[in-house]
Amino acid sequence: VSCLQEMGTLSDLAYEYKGTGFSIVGLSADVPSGSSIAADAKELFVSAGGKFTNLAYTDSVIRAILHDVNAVPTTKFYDSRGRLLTVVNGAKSKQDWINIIETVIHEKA
Amino acid sequence: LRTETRKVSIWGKRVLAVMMAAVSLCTIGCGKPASEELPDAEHSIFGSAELPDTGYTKTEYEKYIPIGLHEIATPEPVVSYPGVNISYAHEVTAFATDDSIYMRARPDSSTEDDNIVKKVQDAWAVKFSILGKTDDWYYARYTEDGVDYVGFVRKDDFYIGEAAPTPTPEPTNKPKKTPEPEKEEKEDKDDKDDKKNEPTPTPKPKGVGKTPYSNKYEKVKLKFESSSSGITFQTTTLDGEAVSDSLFSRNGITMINIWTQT
Repeated sequence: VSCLQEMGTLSDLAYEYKGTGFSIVGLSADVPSGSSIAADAKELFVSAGGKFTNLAYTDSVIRAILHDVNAVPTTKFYDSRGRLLTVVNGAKSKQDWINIIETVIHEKA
Repeated sequence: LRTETRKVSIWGKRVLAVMMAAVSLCTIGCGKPASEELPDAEHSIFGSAELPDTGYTKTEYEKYIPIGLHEIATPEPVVSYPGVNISYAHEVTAFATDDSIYMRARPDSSTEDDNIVKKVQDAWAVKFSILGKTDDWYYARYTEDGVDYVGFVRKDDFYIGEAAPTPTPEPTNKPKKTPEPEKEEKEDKDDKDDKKNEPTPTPKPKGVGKTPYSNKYEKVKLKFESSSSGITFQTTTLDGEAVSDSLFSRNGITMINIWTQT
């Protein structure tokens, strides 16, 4: 499963968890904020089934989120105060994501 | 080293209680201490509110604290340290009230080599700078021969103030019941009760460290607002919409999936 192949799965999960206090956001690690390639990336994202908010990167995003990311896809979970909860490497199946998400939610509770 | 029962975290207990209650904002004044003269921090009054699903909390409370501690009593901002929260504020001068002071790497009593930053000998009345505090420890800086040492020191071994405490004038050779006010007895009951009727053969300046606190408590109003974010950033979505770390506060948990086009 590649980055793009799981966009549909993540979109489904974003919809299913809507209103629960759990949110999914994408971050394009190769698209600078305000760049001309943002439109192309958006088109690719949507065509892959992406239906959730997707961010481009800036220097502050690199410092805050991307500085220790060595491979993609990488997924980070943050609490409401922006504190890192856990990091998951690699693409996952829908059921795997559900298991991970439920574990994170359970541990935070 | 003394082993003694430490007072349970005032702040920690307070916040925990607040989180569990987490509903009503108690007005300042409810649950007043039984006696205005009893400077027992456990009787502090506080009220708090939490913004649902954000982790953002605001707490206001009153408490009795020794005069001189006012400047470092407000826990803001809070930075994380493994297992504890350290409350940083502006530096406060403090003087050691013990003959030797261990500066530790961690806020625990271990004297293992890896936990001892510096042992300060002949430390009585030596000046330290308090950078922050946890429940039982100060995070302090001490300078010797031009070298700065930073570490955790026991709160009880320090007197907060701009001037060094004065030593005890003379020793007492007879058993003597210390005519301390009730509040002083209460506060130090755990470690003093068994010593009160014993002779004090030599003038130990150590006790003086607590003398400046006697009858010198003040009631202060404090407030704490939690920081809104562990990380900060500003960027845009692929559509050009501005986004910042404030997006975290909208959710209990935010999952950020990092991907590339290739």
